[in-house]
Amino acid sequence: MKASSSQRFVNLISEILRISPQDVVDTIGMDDISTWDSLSHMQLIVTIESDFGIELSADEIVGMRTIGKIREVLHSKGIEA
Amino acid sequence: MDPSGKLVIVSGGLGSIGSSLADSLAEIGARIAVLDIHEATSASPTPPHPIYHVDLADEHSVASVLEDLVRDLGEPAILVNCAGLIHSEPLVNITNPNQRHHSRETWDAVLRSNLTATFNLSSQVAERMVMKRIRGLVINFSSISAQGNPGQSAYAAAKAGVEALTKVWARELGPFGIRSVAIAPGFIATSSTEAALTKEAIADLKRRTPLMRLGTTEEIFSAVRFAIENDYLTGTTIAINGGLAL
Repeated sequence: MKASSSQRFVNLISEILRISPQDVVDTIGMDDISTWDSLSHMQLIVTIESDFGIELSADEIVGMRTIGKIREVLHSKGIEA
Repeated sequence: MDPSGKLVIVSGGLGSIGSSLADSLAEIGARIAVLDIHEATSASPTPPHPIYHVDLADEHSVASVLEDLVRDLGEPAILVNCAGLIHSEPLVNITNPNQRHHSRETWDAVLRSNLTATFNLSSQVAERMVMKRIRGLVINFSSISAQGNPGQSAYAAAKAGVEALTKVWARELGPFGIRSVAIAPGFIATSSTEAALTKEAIADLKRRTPLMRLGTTEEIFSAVRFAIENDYLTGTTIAINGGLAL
């Protein structure tokens, strides 16, 4: 069975930031996870774009500093995350 | 990438190789912006491209000139880092009682012109490419001297540094579709080569080069064009040196 987009989102974040899926919660941000640095942020952006078939603007990329903010942006593009 | 209609920044675009590249890129349809610290002279006349004078080793000047350039011409898709300063000086010179070891001043000047300048301009152009989502290309000019040319501690170190930056940027910027390629020319038949080397030294270089001649600016352009057009090429150095090994 194909994973839902929200499951894919959690798996993607978990894999790139090397954190447990249980830790993929809205309040977690760049300041809380040592593996979420500028390089992994870029990888995150590119992977999200590729997996969900979207293109993010510069403002969106800069603003996506927490899991909750990333979800907000994806929701605004009609993606359940 | 098809360079037609793309804006290409050529740093050192008034120099022998830079000006030739700028002209050749324009001939295949690219739009050119030349950056150079020098003014045009009779030896390097004003090119038929917009020219911006800037000290690339000064990051604030780079930011300012890029702002002007983008306002005038739009966002660059390709950066060719051709600016640099060739300098020869042995690590130890026992024949000079006043300066028996390599001058720190010239070391700094050569590193600034070749390595810091490349870093300053590339970092700011790459930032624009990432933020504007431009799948661009940075071409860095290294040199055969990066192999370890005796008598060129500073220049060789700077150019080896440029090759290292090329690899780092390929890995960091690759996910954004931005490529980074270095070109390492050997000895090229230009007025600056003639000015820097004696006729005997040039004859000796030709003898040591398997292809028995100096390279041409057209052959350098051919490598640049290949780097632009091959979208799977990144993180590598293209050596154009007639087979010469130092």
